[in-house]
Amino acid sequence: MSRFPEGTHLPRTAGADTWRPLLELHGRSTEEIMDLPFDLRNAQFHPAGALRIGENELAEWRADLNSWAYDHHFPAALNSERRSSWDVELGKRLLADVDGLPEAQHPDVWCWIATNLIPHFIVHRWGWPALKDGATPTGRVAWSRFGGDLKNGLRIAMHRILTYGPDNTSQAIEQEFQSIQYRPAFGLDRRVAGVVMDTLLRCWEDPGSYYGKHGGSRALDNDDVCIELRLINSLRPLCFASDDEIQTIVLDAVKRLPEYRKPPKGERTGSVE
Amino acid sequence: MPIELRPRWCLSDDTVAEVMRLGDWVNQNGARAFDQDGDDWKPGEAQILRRDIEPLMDLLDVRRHLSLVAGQTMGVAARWSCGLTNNAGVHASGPTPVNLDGPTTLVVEIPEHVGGSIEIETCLVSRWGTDQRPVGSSPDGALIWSDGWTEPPRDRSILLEGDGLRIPVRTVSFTDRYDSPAGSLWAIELEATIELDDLLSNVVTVYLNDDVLRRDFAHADGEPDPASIPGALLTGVSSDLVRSLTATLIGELNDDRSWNELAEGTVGSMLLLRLTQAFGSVADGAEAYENDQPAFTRQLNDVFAPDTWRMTR
Repeated sequence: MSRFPEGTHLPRTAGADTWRPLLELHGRSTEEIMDLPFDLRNAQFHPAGALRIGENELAEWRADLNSWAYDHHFPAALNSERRSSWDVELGKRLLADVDGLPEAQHPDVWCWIATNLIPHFIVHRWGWPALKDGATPTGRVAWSRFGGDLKNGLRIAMHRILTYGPDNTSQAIEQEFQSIQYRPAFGLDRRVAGVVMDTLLRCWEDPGSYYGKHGGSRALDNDDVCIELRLINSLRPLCFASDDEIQTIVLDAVKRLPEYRKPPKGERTGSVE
Repeated sequence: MPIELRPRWCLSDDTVAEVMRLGDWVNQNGARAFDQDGDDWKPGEAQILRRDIEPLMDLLDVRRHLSLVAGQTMGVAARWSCGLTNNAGVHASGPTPVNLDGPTTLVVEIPEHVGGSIEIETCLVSRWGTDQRPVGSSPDGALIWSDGWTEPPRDRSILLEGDGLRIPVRTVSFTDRYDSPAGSLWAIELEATIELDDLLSNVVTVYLNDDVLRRDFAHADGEPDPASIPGALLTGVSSDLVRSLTATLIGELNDDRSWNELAEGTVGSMLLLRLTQAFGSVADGAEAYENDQPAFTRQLNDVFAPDTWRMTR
């Protein structure tokens, strides 16, 4: 269960300019921003939330998270292996801390937390948004790692654990996550997404499978399979198929990979006049 | 996607309407789910939605009408999605579609961890009890009809959280809260340090008296039902709220300040809207309060007047 009392509501922020408080912090080191003051008086709460979290509780939570981060090599730079491990451990930790709370997965809550409470976690993992023409960037897209959608650096870590489980999350590569995540027609359903990912990772381990081997790359093969799954899904929704049926559909798509990899006819025969 | 681009086994809305009646999606209280305005749901609350489906003719006629062949059956299914929280799922007994062999009820259990709004889609799915399908027929599990093909998402969406300003409303026993029995229906409490640029939802709470609700506005099972409070009484609550805020902040309402700079959702932005509606400006509203309070209250009641004062909702 959550570290907070049952029914605790968390602060929220939403809208197109939630990133503005971070503008003046851009470029500072993670350690400079790890204990920023925050103001709950002007934070929004859901009106039905009778029990609101207090400033002391939030400050204690952040202190605990900071200790946890130091145990996970913070603030040392992350290489790709450590990045994956950080994502998995962070996702597990955050999910455990808010488990059972009414807004445990609400994007507006995680936007507030990323912007006001632990922005250093986002900067540590994803860096500050890149300068644009030498100036600090503005706009929702540039600051999306702190925003409300699934690019939020905290939400994405939790979402992957919830959808794929810790083991598969640590084995998958970024392109595999994205190929499924950006095909919401079937990828929004966590059961379906989980079975697809699990099947593909088993294919990756299988020396006899085409997936990511025998002339193919893991990222491109995954994209090809997910394009095929999207087409199949429009005719036969994967959400109404059992785990075994989804697995069979994915394995069939993997078997067809050599065909997908072939360049289109026009390219093979030269230019078309 | 226009229907002519779909496989030929797909059905039109008219064909489906001829063979079955699809009821409304209703929530736990039996109310139409698509009528929800964002006031009723609270975070962490799971929802159970139901839709009755009733064949309008003998099942053999249904099969004939839908051109189902030997070995082929049809199931009904529902899928829901929540774009805000990136989550989706299917009907309660899923993922396999429910066989349509008589009147049935589709049940969808929306988990607690959603927000914003939910989109829901009802589908008919082809099933086969044999591997020997005729050439050109629909595959097993193929979609043969969906209300999502013709009904836009906004007509299939259930609003959980609206964008409008919402003030916290809590139901408590006034006997417990104020240490003496009370017959009043509502009470308004303001934070002692309230300021114009505070978020309204953080410094204002409307309390409804659970004792009165149980006596006068309860479901058949005795549970209080704030939704059954007549609009005329809600006018009193709204008017009382603006009057209380004006009284508490009267010293700041005559200040020469830039009212339009107050952020949305703040106490000041709400007073700006309501006092301007009623009196033409904040300053005029403050002046009316100081000079003639009965007239001030009368004007507010006029602004919040319901369509009818009759005690019906």
